[in-house]
Amino acid sequence: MIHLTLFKNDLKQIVRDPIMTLLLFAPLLLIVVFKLLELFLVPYLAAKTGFDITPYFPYVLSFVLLMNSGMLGIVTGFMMLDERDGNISQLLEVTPLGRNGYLANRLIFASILAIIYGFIGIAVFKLPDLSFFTIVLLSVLSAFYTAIIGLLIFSGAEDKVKGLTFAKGLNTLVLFAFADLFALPWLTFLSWFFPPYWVTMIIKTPDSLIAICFAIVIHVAWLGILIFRYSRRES
Amino acid sequence: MRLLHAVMADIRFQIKQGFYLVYVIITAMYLIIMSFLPDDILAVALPLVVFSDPSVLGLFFIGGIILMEKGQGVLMVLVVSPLRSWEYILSKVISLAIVSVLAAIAITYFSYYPTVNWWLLLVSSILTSGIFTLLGIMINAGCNTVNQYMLKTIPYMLLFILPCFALLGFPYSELFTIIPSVAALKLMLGSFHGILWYEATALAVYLLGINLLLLKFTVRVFENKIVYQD
Amino acid sequence: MIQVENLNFTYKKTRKKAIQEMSFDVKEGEVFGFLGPSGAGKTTTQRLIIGLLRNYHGKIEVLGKERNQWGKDYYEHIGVAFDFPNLYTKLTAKENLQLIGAYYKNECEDPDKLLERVGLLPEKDVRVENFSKGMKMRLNFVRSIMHNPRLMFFDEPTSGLDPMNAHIIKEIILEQKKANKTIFLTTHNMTVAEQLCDRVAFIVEGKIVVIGSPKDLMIEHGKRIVNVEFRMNGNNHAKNFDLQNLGENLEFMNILKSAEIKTIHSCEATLEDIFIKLTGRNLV
Repeated sequence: MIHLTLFKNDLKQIVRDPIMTLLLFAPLLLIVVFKLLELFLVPYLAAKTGFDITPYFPYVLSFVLLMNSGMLGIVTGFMMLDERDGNISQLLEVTPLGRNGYLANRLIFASILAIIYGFIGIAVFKLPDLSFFTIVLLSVLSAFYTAIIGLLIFSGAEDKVKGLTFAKGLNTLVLFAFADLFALPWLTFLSWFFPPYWVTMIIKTPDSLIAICFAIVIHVAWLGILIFRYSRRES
Repeated sequence: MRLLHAVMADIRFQIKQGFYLVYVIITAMYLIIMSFLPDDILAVALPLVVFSDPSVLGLFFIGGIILMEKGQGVLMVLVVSPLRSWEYILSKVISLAIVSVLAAIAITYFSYYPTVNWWLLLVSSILTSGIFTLLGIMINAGCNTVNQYMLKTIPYMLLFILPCFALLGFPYSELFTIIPSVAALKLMLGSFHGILWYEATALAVYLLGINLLLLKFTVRVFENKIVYQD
Repeated sequence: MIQVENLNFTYKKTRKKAIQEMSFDVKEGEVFGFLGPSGAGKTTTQRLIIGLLRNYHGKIEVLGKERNQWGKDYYEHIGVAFDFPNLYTKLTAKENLQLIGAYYKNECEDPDKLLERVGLLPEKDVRVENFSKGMKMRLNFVRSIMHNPRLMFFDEPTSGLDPMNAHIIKEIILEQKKANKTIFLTTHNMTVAEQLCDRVAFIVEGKIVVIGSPKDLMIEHGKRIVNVEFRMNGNNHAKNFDLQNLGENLEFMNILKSAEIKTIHSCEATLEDIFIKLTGRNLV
C-alpha cells in the first residue's frame, strides 16, 4: 500500500517537474540518435571505407541497451543524491517507508522504465533471431543493470561531484560489452565478472544455457552485494 | 595571485574528488581500444576520442562542481571575498583544462600515432576545453540539480556536435566552421593529420576569441543569476 | 561607518516591497543590532549593505562611499558570517581558513590562534564534514574575522551554540568592539542583543519602528515602579512602589526594615516586551 502511494507520488512529482518528464524520455532520444546514425552514417562509411557493420550488430544492440539502462541508473542515482542534499531522503527514511523502502521505491521505479525502454530498444534495433524469451530476459537484465548503476552512484558517492566522477568511471564498464572483440585472454576473463559482457553474450548466443545462467548470476550477485553493503552500513 | 590560489585550490579539490584517478582509468580504456584499431581507422578515431572525451570533460564536471559549492554555501563566501567573479570562473577553466590536456596527451602518446604536432594538440585541447567549461558554467547558472543540468546540456550538445558531421564534406560544409565546435575539431584533426600554418593560426585565433567572448558573457550570466539574487 | 537614508528595495521576481523608507546610521566602533521577526527585511537590509542585492533606491553609504560605487575591493574591508556555516566540507578546519584567507591582501591572522580561541585547535586537522553544527558555526565565525576587517556582519552568530561556546563568541565580538571595529549584528535573540549591542533597531515589515540603546529603551518603556515580595506575619505579600521618592516612602522603608524580603525588582521592560508593545506581534 505504502509503495503504491509513493509510486503515485513519484509519478506526480515527475509529471509536475517538466525536467524529470523530459529526462524520462531521454533514453528515447538516445535510441533515435543511434537509429539515425545507423541509417545515415553506416551506409556512408560502407561507401567510403568498405566497412561492413553487419557482423557487429549484436554489439550495437548490446551497447544501446547498456547505455539506456546505464543512463536511467545515473539519473536515478543523481535524483537520490540531490534528495540527500535536500534532506528529503532523511525525511522519507523516518516515515513508515523507511530507508530500505525509500531505496527500493526509487530503484524499482527506474527499473520498470528500463524494462520498457529495453523492449523499445530491441524493437528498434531488431535482430532477426531473438526469441521472445530472450527479449524478456534482456529487458529484465536491463532493469537489473539500472538498479546496479543507480545504487553504485548513490552508495558510492558522498556528493554530486563524486557522483559525476563515478558516472564517468562507470562508462568504462560498457567496454566489457566489447571485450571478446579484442581477443585478449586477460580482458575476456576480467569481463566475465561484469554484467555488460553477458548482455552481449546473450545477444550473440541466445540459446546458450551457460550464457543465460552466468548473465543472471552475475547481475543478481552485483545487485545483491550492493544491497547487502548498503543495508549493512545502516547498522 | 588570487587567481593562482584559486587554481591551486581547484586542482587540490579535483584530486580529492578522484578526477585524476578516473581519467587514468578512462585513458587506459581508450588505450586498449586504440591498440586494436588498424592504422587507417586510428587516424580518424584518435582525434575524435581526444576531442570528444578529454577536451569536453569540463562540460561534464563543471555542473556538479558549481552545484556543490552552491549547496555547501562556499560560493556565498567567495562572493563576499575579494575574489573576482572572472577569477573564480577562469580558475575553474584553467584547472579543468589541465586535466583535459594531461588526458589528451596521455591517450595520444601511448597510442603511438606517428605524426603528432604536439604544440597544436596542446593549443587545441586547451581552447576546446575552455569553450566547453564556460558553456557548462553558463548552462549551470539556472540549475538546482545535476539532472536538470544534464538535461539542459542536451540541446547545446546537439547544437555543437551535429554540425561536426560537416567535416565529412558536402557542398558549402566549410561554412559550418563558424560553429566553435567544428573549428575546434578541425584544429584537433589538424594536429594529427597536418594543417596549413595559416589555417591553424586562423582557427586558433578564432577559438581564442570565442573563449574570451564566452568568458565575458559567462561572467555576466554568473553575476546576474548566482551572485545577485535580486 | 554605515549611513542609510530613505532606502527602498523591491524584489524583481516577486515584486515584494521588502524595504520601505529606511534610515539609520551605524557609527565606527559600535555594535549595532538589527532585530525583528523572520521575514521583516533584516537579511534583505544586510544583503543590500554587503552588496549581494542591487537596484535599490535611496542612499547606502558604507566606509565613506556609496555602496554601488564600490568594487570588489570592498570585501577586503568587511567580514561576513552568514547564519548557516559556509564551509568546504571535504577540507579540514585549518585548510578552510588557509584557502579563503589566501584571497585577501591583508595578512591573515594565524589559523592556529584563531582555532584555539574558539576551542577548535585539537580538531584543526579534522575534515569539516565530521564537525557538529556548533563546531561549524564557530569555524565559520572565525573565518569571517581572520582578515582583520573594519566592518563585520554577523547573522545569528550564536544560533545552535551551547551557552559555553555562545559565551566565547560574544566575548570575541566585544573584543572586536574594543579594537574599534564596527559590528552589524542581525538576530532575533533579544538576550544576545541586550548583552552586546550599543544600539538596536527594531524592524517590522521593511520599516524601522524604533532605534535606541537597549538600556534607554528598557527604561523608557518600563514602569517606574519597584516590585517587592516579602513575608510578614506568616503570610506572603507582594507590593508595587513608585520609584519617585522611593527613599521617603515610609511603607517601603518599613517593609525593608521589618519584613523578610524574598525578591526586589525594578520593572524596566525587556527588549522582548518593548518589541511586542511596539509592533503588536511576537518574535520568531
